[in-house]
Amino acid sequence: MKTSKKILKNLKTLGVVSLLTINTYSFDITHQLKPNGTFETTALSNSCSTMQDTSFSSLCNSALMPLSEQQAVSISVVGKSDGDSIDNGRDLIFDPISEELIRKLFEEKNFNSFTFNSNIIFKTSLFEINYTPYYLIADLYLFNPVFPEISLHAVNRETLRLTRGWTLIGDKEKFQTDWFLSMGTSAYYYKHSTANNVFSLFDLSFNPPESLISFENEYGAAGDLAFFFMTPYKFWPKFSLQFKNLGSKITRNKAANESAVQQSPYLLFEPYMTFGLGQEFSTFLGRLDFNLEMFHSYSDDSLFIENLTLGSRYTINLFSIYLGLSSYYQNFALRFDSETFKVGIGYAREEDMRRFQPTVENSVYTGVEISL
Amino acid sequence: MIRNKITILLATLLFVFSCMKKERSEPIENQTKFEIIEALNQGDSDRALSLALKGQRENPNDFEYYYFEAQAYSQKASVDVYSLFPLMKMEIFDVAVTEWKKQEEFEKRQKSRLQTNLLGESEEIDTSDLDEVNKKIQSTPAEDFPIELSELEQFHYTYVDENGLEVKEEQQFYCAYYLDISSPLFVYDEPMKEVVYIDKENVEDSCNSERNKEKVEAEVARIKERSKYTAKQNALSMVDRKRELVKERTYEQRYAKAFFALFDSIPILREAPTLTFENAENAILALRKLNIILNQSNIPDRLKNNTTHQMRLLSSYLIIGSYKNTTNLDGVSEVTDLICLIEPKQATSHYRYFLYGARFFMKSMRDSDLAKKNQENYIEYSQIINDAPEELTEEQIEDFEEDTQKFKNSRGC
Repeated sequence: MKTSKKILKNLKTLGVVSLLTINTYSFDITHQLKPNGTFETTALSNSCSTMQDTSFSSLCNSALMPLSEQQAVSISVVGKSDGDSIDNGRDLIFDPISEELIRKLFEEKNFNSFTFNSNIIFKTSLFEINYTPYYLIADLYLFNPVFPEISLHAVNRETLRLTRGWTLIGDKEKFQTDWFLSMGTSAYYYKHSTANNVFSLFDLSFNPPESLISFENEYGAAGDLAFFFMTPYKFWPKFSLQFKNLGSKITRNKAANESAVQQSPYLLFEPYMTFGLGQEFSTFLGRLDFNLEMFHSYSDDSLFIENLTLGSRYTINLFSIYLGLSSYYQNFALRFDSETFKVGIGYAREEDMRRFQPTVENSVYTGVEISL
Repeated sequence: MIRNKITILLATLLFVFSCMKKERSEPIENQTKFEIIEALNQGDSDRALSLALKGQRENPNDFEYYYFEAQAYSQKASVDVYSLFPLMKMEIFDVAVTEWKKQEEFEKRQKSRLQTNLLGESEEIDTSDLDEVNKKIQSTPAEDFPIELSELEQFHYTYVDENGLEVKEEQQFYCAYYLDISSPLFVYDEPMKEVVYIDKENVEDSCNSERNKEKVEAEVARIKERSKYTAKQNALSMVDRKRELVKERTYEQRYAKAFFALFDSIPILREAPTLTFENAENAILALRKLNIILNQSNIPDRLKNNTTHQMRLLSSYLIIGSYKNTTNLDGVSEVTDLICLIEPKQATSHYRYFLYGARFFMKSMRDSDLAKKNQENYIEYSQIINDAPEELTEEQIEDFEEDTQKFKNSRGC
């Protein structure tokens, strides 16, 4: 009793501190497509940690593994296939550059990003092995029309992940009618190649591009720890708590400390936590899931409300409609699921630079998954 | 069972919390810099300038704020990617990035142009032969200096006696011969001239008599020994003379090449942004700020490189813009028009911009490979430019206008 009172007091303090902390910003960059992400997690803006019994549940929250009985080997790819960044990239690379394009790039679309992820997943009822041969991101920020410079952040990450879940309280057969608490862990090995450079148009004109971009490799291991809690009461939400990237050597502040124009990845590779609330409803036609997720990175103090994300999914037989909403991301996506083949297309409005993004970027994501 | 599981859960949570390290977050300073960058992106140079000045007051040791201030002034001077776009389009952007191999051609053209021709040598003049000869001369002892004597060429002084009668050769008391002394180490075919002179014992004696021949031979031998020392000195001065000649020709070639390069650059110069006095003053303010950064010893590489390149860009803008305003470029159809079409009054009114452009350009070249290879020239030109007066006097203006007119007349303008 005394212990639980103490815990509650600590949680309250944590919540108040998070609400009242002062904003401090460096040049933060984040992405909806996370290192362990798929089309579904992206479409939901990663707000999915209480959506159990889906094909992506264990990727969202490893504590949902005990509630999933799926066993499969699958290959999935997801990436940005169209949108402002793709158009700008195409115009820049394949056509003669016009003054209108240059002006557009500086005044409106000076941030362009490209993302891609691939997964090979071996899933059993006891554990899951996930190999990501390529997780690629490339962020280009063009600035200062007086003496143009480009801030480039590129990542090529390879991971091998082992995920396992345990039921702590309750029984998975009776989880909807009884108290249920589960825990999940992931341990993964990563090879992280990153380039974070700033160079001028002048440098680019007189030097080959490969000499301006230098990749650094880092190898390591890290893990996730997750919890999922459900009550037998219908109107109580489901709860989740996750600690991501524990032990990761990839930090944010090194890049941020060096220069205001160097990009600092945020809520991607560094340790951070999430807290989720969700509920599901069965309807006449299908199933409706809601999830509210709060993200908090330990490397800076950010406003609680800015990282609040709502994810929603409505499933009707083989079709699913996804919705993701937050201050900086709005998504709408459709997915078609067959037994062996899943394909999805999603439209997103993104502000990867968060409050520093001059205009919203329109993107299209495409995801394909094949189950063997 | 449940209590045990809760205990395990709490222990795990405590462990996790203890593993989480809160890293120090970045101060708001970077946010200000970011706002300056965004103001520049939007073309709001006033806001960029006021934020940069504020940043300087709050962080006097952070020279990136001086850099931002220079960017704001440069934007006010209308020197940005938009005004330079016609130039860049011609040289870089007229093809897609996938065809940027032409970049190498652009680089080669730029490097062989005006700055190389004026400051240094675009082609290496080979003086290695001269160096070798010089070395050989220096290392040869005077007494062993190789000389070659020509055939003796007899001559006579003709003169008249007190009666006005020409004194004939057979009546003269001497024998005189010309002697040429040359050496394989002379770089010019200019033998030393010596006179061999002996007195006859009897005026009736022929110069070809045995006795006189012996005397001549002895004199020649004496001259030969003495001449070795003179020949060595002569050889060394010949080498110096030739070096000077090579240098003079190099300068002539260089200036001729520079003018031809300038003539070739006319299409580019025409596309350069027009210089107004207001733009020029803002450009000078920007250059002064960049100069402050360049004078610091411990600045990040990115800042140093950008400052150097931008200083070159702005100073070139001042020089080219001023030249455009002083010369009717549209009328240039041949190389001599580059001088013929200069308007002296315009040139003198732009003197300040030519001067500052040249000064800051030389400053920006200080650490370049070109300046290091041609250090003497660089120091000499820098000195001349730095010593030039800040303003021209009335007299100097009049002199310049007169000299320009004379030069034009001499070139048939």
